[in-house]
Amino acid sequence: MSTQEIATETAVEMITLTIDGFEVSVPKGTLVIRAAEKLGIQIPRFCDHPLLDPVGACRQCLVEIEVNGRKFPKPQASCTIPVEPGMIVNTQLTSAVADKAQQGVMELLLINHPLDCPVCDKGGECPLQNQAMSNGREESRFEGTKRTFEKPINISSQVLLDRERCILCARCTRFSEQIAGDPFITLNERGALQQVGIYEKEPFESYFSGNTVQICPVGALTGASYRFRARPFDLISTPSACEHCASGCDMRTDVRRGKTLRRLAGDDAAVNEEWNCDKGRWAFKYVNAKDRITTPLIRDESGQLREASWPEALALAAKGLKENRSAVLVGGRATLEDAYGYSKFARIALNTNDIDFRSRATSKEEKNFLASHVVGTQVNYKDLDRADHVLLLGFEAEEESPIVFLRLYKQVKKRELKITAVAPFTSRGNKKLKAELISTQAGSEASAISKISNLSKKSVILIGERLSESSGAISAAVALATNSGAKLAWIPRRAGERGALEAGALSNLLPGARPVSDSAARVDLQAAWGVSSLPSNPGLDSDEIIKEVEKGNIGALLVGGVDPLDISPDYQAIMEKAFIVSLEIRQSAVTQIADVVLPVAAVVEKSGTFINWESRARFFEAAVPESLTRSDVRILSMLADEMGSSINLPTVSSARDEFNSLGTWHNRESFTPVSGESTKIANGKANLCSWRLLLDAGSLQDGENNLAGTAHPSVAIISKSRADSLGVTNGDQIKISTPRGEITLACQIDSIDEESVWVPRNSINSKVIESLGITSGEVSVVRA
Amino acid sequence: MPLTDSDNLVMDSMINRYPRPRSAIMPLLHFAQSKDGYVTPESIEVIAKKLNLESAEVSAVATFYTQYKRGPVGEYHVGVCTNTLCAIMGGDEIFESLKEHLGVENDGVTEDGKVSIEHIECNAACDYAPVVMANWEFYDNQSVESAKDLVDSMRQGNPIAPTRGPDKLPTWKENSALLAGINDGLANQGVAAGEPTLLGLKIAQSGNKKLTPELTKSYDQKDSFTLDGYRRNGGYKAIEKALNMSPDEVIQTVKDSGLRGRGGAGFPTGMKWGFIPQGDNKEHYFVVNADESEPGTCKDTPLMLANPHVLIEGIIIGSYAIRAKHAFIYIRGEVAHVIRRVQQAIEDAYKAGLLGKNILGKGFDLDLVLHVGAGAYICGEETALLDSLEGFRGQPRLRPPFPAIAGLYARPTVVNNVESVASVPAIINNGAQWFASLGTEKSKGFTLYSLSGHVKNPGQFEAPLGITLRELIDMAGGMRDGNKLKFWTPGGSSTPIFTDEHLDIPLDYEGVAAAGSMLGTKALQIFDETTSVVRAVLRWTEFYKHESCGKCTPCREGTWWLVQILKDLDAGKGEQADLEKLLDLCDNIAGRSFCALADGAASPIISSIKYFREEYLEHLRIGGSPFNPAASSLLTSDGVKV
Ligand SMILES: Cc1cc2nc3c(=O)[nH]c(=O)nc-3n(C[C@H](O)[C@H](O)[C@H](O)COP(=O)(O)O)c2cc1C
Ligand code: SF4
Ligand code: SF4
Ligand code: SF4
Ligand code: FES
Ligand code: FES
Repeated sequence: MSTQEIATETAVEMITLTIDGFEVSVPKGTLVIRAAEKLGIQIPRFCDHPLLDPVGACRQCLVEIEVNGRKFPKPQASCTIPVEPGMIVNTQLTSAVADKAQQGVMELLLINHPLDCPVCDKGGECPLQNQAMSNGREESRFEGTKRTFEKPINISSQVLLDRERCILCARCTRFSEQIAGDPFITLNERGALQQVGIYEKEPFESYFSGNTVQICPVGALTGASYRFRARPFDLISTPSACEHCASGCDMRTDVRRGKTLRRLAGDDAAVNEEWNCDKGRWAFKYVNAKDRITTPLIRDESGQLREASWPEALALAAKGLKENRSAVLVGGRATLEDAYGYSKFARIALNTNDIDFRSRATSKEEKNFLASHVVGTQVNYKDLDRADHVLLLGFEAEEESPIVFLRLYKQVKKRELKITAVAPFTSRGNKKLKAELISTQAGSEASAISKISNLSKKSVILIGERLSESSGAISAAVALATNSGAKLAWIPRRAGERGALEAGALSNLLPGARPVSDSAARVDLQAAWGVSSLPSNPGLDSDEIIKEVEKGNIGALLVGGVDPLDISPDYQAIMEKAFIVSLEIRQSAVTQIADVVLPVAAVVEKSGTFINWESRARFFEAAVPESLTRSDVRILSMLADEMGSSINLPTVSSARDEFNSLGTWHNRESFTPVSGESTKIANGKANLCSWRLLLDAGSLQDGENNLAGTAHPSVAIISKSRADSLGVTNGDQIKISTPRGEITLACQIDSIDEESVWVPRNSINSKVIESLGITSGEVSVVRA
Repeated sequence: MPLTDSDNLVMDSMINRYPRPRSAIMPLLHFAQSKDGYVTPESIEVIAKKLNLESAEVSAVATFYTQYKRGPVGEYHVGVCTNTLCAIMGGDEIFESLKEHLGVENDGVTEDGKVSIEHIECNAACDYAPVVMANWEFYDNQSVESAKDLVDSMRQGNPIAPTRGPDKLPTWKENSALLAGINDGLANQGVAAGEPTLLGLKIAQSGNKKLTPELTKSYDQKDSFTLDGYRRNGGYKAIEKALNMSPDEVIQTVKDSGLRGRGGAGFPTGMKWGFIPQGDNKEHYFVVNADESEPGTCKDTPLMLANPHVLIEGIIIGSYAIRAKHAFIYIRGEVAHVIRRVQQAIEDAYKAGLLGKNILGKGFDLDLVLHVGAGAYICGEETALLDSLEGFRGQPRLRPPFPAIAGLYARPTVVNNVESVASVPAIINNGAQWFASLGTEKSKGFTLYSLSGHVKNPGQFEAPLGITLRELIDMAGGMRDGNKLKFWTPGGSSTPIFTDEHLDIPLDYEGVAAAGSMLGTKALQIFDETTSVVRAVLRWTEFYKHESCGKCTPCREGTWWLVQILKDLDAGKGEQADLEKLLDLCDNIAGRSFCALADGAASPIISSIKYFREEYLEHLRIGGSPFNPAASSLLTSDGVKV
């Protein structure tokens, strides 16, 4: 347990000791090196990392220790020794022995180090460089031959290893093994030839590999994308939050001259600890993509988009929205403030509840569930830390919320936390979690869930957004939670969904968990907003909105960050019938058909808040404040003004303040369970199941070729018996098809449910919605 | 490695030997070598799959150990010991001339693929120096001529038989299978012991009362290593007695005897057993350290060759005492015939109902597994040994927790040296008092002293603790050619050296410590006046550099540096200040490192400068070594043994 963790547990025993003559009290179990930190005494260190098990390998942190009047005969590694009452510690500041020991170790660390700081990415922020200055000898006495290795080698497409610079602290290998469960990099050979490496044929393709670059205390591990791009002192760092998923990582964004050069994991013990995933770290170039929209665009008479002034574009947009029955589609990536803007805009400027943030496969059952069981509730990482059993439903933690995965893995490692997954097969991530599999076909989850009986009050049920794709499954999960007392949490994939839910960007919900159907809640909001009425009829879901567009009943759409292909291959064509106002950062399937396109700011250019799956606010400031692009809410506010029905949210902070002032409503919509059906697949056919992989063809990963190089290859997973009946073996191509289209992939045989076939939902050569038109259900599988 | 169904079964059986599959990684790698001759990438992948590991984890382990080869070796792989003692006695000449004779470099293979050659570290046969190994079988007392004859016979397809080993030299692949734990049925071939091993026993038999053969008493019987032979000499009586005692009584008896660990540190054995928590509802493990790789140390190896059952009997008693149902012998991988004998002895003990379920009908169950190492001195350090046994790289673990609390598989574990364990049956048979009556006040009982080097007759001497080197050299027929003793190690290369001033120090834990060294493994390596101490120390330092596990900075980087400085000094390059630098470096390494290996690395340097500073300076003065290596060799200028 780290000190932080120990400290946050209640009623810890405190230990008092003396370090360099100063008394300090720290929780029992604290290591000497961290007790010293509390006094502001910095003991030099390399292998020590508060979140990794101590190893005592580098020996840089040696101090003298005396317990009960007895001095250890040798200096001790302060990163491995827990404090004891009355212990007397003398660091380099007060002990000549400790000081000499540290200088001796430093000298030895440097004899084989190339000292190429001027050309090293770590130069300027290198613990070795810094500590060599503060705790090293002035001159090396080494006159011999240095160890040499081939200069940097690619250990994956995004990570390079320079073994000459490596000081063998084993932080990277320990991280990979202890934290990520991906021991793809290891220490090899021994003695002076010991070196970090991969198995020759298998690159370091861990979703978490970037953390090793961050914690490497020298410039031995570097990210291919950042290499030689900048020196630390040229960079301006801003704390930020990750926009890629609902885990809610705290981040730091480093910018030089208006351009993001790198992003690092921030330190938040309650959420991501000090880690993040490679997508969050290395997918940010989309901001500077060529197809970035920088000025408003309007469609001219010839049907072409042309640049326009803001007043012109706003006027046209306002006119179109006013003249038609209009609805709002908000993608799952909006910040809380922006989502609130859309929510308020729909109700006031458009006088409608036809708004939906779920641009993906959805159900009414899910909507009802979100409004009754999710909005306004909190379940958090700490609950996972304490759980006796975690159930994963329609949720692949490592792919769909990596930090949730790391947390679960930590507990699995530490105390064999029991994990159960309802899924068609055990994914790699779930293997690492040693999850028990309740093998279930897509569509049959409800009955599988209803049979689960081994949960308790201390259990946690994690529901992924995909559970909505299986009718009755959410209802079964709700029943299970009610009967067992287990906590229920919903983990969407996208970073903005939870915030949009709280902001009421949903047809049955107003901001602050106010049910549309609750007249008192409406009245309360009317008062807060200073309007005389709000639409009271239940609004339409995204699917229904599109249907009404098709029928011609809805004539205009306000669309923010939606890809219609996330829902259906037909939607783009249907939407084209409507007058479309698109708020976008880049050209997209929607801007192609839009009548007015209004450019908005990307995350690094604006401030805002994401609400992560826990319901925790992740506030961030603009990392590139000089950007001219504006957050959606400011544009919506201008648009509303233009329409003559002001929403009065001129700034992001005004939106945030207003939302916060609304508070959370006390009543919830009631939940009406839906009964499940089981999947019936015609003889000879297969049942499709799919989910998105963390690294895939998602648009925010565009342009990140190094990152994409570490994505898992697209394969179709089939059972042994299907492989036999198709006459294929691992690696053979198979074709999966529906009347709509087909996907051809290499197959991989695994112990998957016999009737099922799994493919990645949105990867190279495997765009399920686009090609097959469904996310689950009956498909044909043949040998290609 | 294309696998047949039967290969798969064999591999599964290796996995089933262990409580946790990962432990099988080492036998599986040996098995892979028995198929392909070396560890191929394919076999790494196969093993990873079998054990549910990533390939990177398997290759991390495979590259740690020197016996796992990355490329083809010869059908006969020859290792020439060039650790200090053998090197000085002629090993260097043998190695050089073999390379020339075969036309290959270190690690090279002859074109016909028959013979490959490497220089190896001390192979626990120093009393037979100079030593050559072939496919890890012993070729004792070699000369340049005999070694050339040996490789010639290999190339002709009819290799000369080992000195202490099977009648016919098995091939590299055959012996790799043996190392993987596949019994080839050859254990009964070959001698029980060679002459040096028998030396002390014969002297005792001729009436010398200073020696007390107990473990060695039957070494001269042709079948001493068999179950029958052991029984005929009173073997397996102690377990009957012990199993009728309560486990705590057994522990008390061992405590009362005063037996101290013979692996180097001298920790009281009974006390160690007493540390194992009782009634904790956890598995306990009893692990025997048979890694014997400390330069100069050569006592456990002949013991297991000639008398493996006494070790097994000790294991049964020890396991019973600490309530362990699983025991392991971790043996170094470079001693094929010893592995054969121990493997056979275990199988015979199972057949006789001495191992397995309900031993002697007393309701005590015990499984004993022989685990074969793969070339890493550090695996003798008990926590590195445990990591290695669990299937990891053999690097020492952080302590606490100590093995008694969290050892093998994080369960309470005793790790004891072979000789410590083998001493237990005699204690049970004859009583604690009997044992305690031998030896000195705090160093009780008898022990094995191994004399090697420039004495007339090197060999094993079993005597009560406290005997002096003067007495032992006397029994060994004096120094060779009547030369003068120059320096010696009391307990292996890690113990500070002594000189002729120390001939009368009682060789017990206290006596040696009082004189500034350690009793260690009682490996007495004797060097006469013809020997360059700088050369000896350089060679030892090279050994530590080669064997450093790499985990911690001072040892990993420090040994790299020390070797470079010593090489220069040996060549007469440098200045007086380099000696101070050397000492200062040793100060930054010893006591600053993670484990005692690094302390051992500094010992010969510090102690040699203490006693022989002048000799170092002489090297600098004349710009080279004042010594003629040929003078300290046992071989004539023609490479013949004198
Ligand atoms: C580098 C190193 C190598 C060692 N090698 C051996 C060895 O080969 N055999 C052995 O019994 N003990 C060896 N030891 C000592 C063991 O760590 C341990 O103390 C011993 O096995 C305990 O057994 P004992 O109490 O019976 O002596 C070694 C220690 C170190 C530091
Ligand atoms: S690569 Fe970096 S983190 Fe890994 S062992 Fe080397 S110095 Fe440590
Ligand atoms: S886990 Fe999610 S929030 Fe964290 S860095 Fe990755 S994508 Fe971003
Ligand atoms: S001192 Fe350090 S590097 Fe040397 S063997 Fe021990 S742990 Fe390994
Ligand atoms: S920081 Fe303590 S040993 Fe490395
Ligand atoms: S066997 Fe050669 S030195 Fe020991």
